[in-house]
Amino acid sequence: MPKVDEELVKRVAFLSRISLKEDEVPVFAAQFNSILSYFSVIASKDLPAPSPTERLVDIRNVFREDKVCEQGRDFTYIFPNKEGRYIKAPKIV
Amino acid sequence: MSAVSIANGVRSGETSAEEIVERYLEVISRWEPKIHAFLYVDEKGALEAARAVDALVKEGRDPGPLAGVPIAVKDNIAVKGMPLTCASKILTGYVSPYDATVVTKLRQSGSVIIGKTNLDEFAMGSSTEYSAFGPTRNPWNLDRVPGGSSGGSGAAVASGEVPLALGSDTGGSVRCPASFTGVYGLKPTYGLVSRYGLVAFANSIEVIGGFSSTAKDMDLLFSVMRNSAAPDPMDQTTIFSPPLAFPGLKGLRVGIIKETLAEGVDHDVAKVTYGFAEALEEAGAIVEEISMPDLYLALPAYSLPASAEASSNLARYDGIRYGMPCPLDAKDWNEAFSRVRGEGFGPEVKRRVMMGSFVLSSGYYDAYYLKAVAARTKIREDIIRALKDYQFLISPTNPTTAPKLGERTADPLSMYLLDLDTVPVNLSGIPALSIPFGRSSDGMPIGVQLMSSPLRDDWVIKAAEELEEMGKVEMASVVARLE
Amino acid sequence: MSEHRIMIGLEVHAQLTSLKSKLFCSCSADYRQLPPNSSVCPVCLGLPGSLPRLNRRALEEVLKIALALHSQPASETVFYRKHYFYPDMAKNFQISQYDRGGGVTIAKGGWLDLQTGQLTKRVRIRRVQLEEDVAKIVYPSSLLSSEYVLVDYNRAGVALCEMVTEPDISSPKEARQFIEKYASILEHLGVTDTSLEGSLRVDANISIDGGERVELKNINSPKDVEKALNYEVQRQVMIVERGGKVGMETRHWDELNRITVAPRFKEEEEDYRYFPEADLPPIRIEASLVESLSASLPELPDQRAERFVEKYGLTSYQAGVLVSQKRLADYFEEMVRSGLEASDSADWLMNEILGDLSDFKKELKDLEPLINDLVKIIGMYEKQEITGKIAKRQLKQLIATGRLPDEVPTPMRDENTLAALVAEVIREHPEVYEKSKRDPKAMNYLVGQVMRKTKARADPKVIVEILKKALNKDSNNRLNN
Repeated sequence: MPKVDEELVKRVAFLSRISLKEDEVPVFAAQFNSILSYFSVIASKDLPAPSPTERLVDIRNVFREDKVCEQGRDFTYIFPNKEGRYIKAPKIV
Repeated sequence: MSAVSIANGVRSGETSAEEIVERYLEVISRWEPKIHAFLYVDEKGALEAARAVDALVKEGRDPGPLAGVPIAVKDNIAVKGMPLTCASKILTGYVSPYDATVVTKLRQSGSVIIGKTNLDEFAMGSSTEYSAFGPTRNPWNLDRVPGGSSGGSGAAVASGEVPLALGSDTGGSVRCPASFTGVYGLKPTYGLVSRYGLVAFANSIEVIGGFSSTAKDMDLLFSVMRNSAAPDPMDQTTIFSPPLAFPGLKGLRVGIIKETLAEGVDHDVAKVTYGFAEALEEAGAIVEEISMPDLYLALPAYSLPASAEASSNLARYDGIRYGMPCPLDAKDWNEAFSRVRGEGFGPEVKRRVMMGSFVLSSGYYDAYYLKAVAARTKIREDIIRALKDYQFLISPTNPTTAPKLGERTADPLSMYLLDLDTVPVNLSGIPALSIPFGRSSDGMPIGVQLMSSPLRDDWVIKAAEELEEMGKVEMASVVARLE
Repeated sequence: MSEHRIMIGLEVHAQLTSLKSKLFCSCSADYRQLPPNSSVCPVCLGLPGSLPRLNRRALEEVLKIALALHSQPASETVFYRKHYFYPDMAKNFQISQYDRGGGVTIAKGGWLDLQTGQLTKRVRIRRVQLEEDVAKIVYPSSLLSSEYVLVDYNRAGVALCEMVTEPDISSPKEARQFIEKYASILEHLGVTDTSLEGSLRVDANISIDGGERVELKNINSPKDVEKALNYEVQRQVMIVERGGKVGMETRHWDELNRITVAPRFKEEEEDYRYFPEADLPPIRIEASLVESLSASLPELPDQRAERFVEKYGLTSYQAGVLVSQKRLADYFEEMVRSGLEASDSADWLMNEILGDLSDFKKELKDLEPLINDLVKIIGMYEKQEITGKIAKRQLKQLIATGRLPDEVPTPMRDENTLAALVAEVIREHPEVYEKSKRDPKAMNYLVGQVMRKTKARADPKVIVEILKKALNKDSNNRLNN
């Protein structure tokens, strides 16, 4: 069980795209450690690997027919930043 | 007033829906300054809807089974034209352009949607203290939390602001507030109620549930919420199952889960739970103690995958398409996304999203996520197996009564422990009803949890009705007790 | 280049343009002419509370592709979430598939054979899967200088088939052949109209001499595949021949400057954090579905080429070229159905018409409304109502303008007129006439001169006859003298 250090917290924060203030980092590190150590009980438990098809409802093959509906509704009014009908987003680089 | 009596009155023309709604709006205006259960009240829309119901009745047309009944909707369920905040700053300004399927059904049933209730941000929490817009207070004691994450809905029903409310239940988020505020809270079988329009947190286990102050009201509410003839085409994980007739409590086997009454449980809570077992025996059921030794795995088995799913389901909140705007002056899109999410998410949401990314990331995926999912499967198997021998399982809903505000927010783990008894239900997809069965020595409500096999939602509701009729459930109007 | 051992693997994304709606919602998938953000809904915009709804036909189309590639369909398959943050991702995860950790894609294995002359090269397929497309990003000025970008979600959620090969391809040329053949298969199956912009996108993995793999992304036009890979192979060869080592990296194909570039910023190594998509139930691929799709598969390029050889007597080379693009083969069959001669039609298409289309910057599909007129022109040539040169000119005009010229100049065959013109030409070029007794090239020159005088309306066969007669007469005269 790894000890969660500030380096790991910063990496995970980037992975989650959540910017943290410097003073938040040690707080989260401490909380993660306490939570993960409580949860380490499952690490030692010997259990068979789960199947990716497992679901709470045992159904298969639910489909929608290839038809077009929902045409003509305008959603542009919900965009926070826009230019004409386009969404304005920050530059990539 | 119960929902059943309101609907009967409105349908027969005896009462006007408009009057009903006006009355409830007045209760809301009195209670809101004290408890802050609502984030949004749509006075104008509600009165319009009520008038439309009255018009239908006048024309001799069927206004629906919930005609004129005011209902509050947790603010993580989409209601067209109303804000959908999820109690988060990151959705500031977002008004839902569509109705959740359940909301459509409610509208069609004649019920009047009063407004949106407070919750822990994105449904992550057990006390409603993690709302970005301030906590909701417990109507029974304003220094206590109402439970969470659907605390607003629980408090709204408990205070009499509305007879019915919708919530969502991922790890206990309907049952916990129901227990803490002394009302009924139903978590349906996963798949029986459409999730279309429920803002996702842990989509593999969460459901939309309901609050009521009587069992018969819950029956009526649930009959409208559930997929009534076919699965909902908007949600490919739903099923249709017709209501199952309940044979009555007599002769049924009930298992009381030993591990939920071990140390850590309030003395009063244990007492009320044993009282519940006795009441069931009086009704003719056979109650036995059952041990589920692996139950201690349930909280990590719930928490780690739920966080993983949260990190995935909340990835979409980046201010590009809706909500709090993404800044355009950042150095690049990574920085822009990180800034808006850093500012828009509260601490508990950040904690869970980061935890989730962590357990899914390579190097930790096998040891944490996969192990937790395997434990989840084990819990589910244990519960389903137990429900082959017993028609019902019972436990306290929570190990304690409602904590004080601020009591557990400093230690997130202490908050998670409130969910000990409720999470196994979510992991197995079964239905469970929190029944308001008693009070602690300091007057706080205590709920007990009645669980059954998948698709037997009607059994838990009808069993509660039977107990109510026997006079076993401490009812009398919740509101009257408080006035 | 041939001294180095090249290994290329391709990852091809094909839009299922045959579908009317998107993969997970019922918005129209026919997005290319629409105003921005007008074919969107809560699902493809990723609005809070929305849920995906799987399109039945998308599964069937991908199964057809799998069958055409001899790929083995799974008995059960699931969707996975692939996480990364980008403005073109509505949910910041893509619903896709995964073939590790217990995950199974719709199909795996299979092959595609490439024919070069007598040699067959087999390229193995690794997997075939279904996933959703992303939104379009538009740069208000250039990629580098834009202060912001504009996003259009019309394309977000359109169904894509991803097909990945093993690194069996040994040269950029082979890669181009592979892409062409795959495109033709998709066309013949009717699942993708590859003439649509962005309908076929290619990523490649290249290594030389067993060295590190370089991933090359952003080859958005299949026509660029060979050029992009050539450039990259040269780049790697230069490094190696200078004694260096090629580093494992991801590079992008810069269409404008025709080079591969390392991205300007260090891309954090993406951790996609795959896990199963719980909003979509798993799919059981029934044997009966596979059988019925298999039985109703349309004729594929290889079979069609064989049929062309057997039925129409074409050479395998001709047949191969025709089936490399479905529309070309279709036009061929239409021409033959209209009564034109098969081998001739093939030659007209391959040697004239393709070139004309390219010269006038037209696409193969632009020929579709012109087929009847095209058949008319070639028909007239076959019946000798016009000369070959006129026919060629007519075709060019048809292709350039889309219309037949109003006046069809009839061929000039009148012997007297032509004899007079031949006499004129002989007077004007006496030395060439002398030479033409022995030199066929000189004869052609004279024929050409007569053609010029008649603006190509003269029938060259008649001119040759007249010239030959004149030459015979001359030699007879000499003999007699």
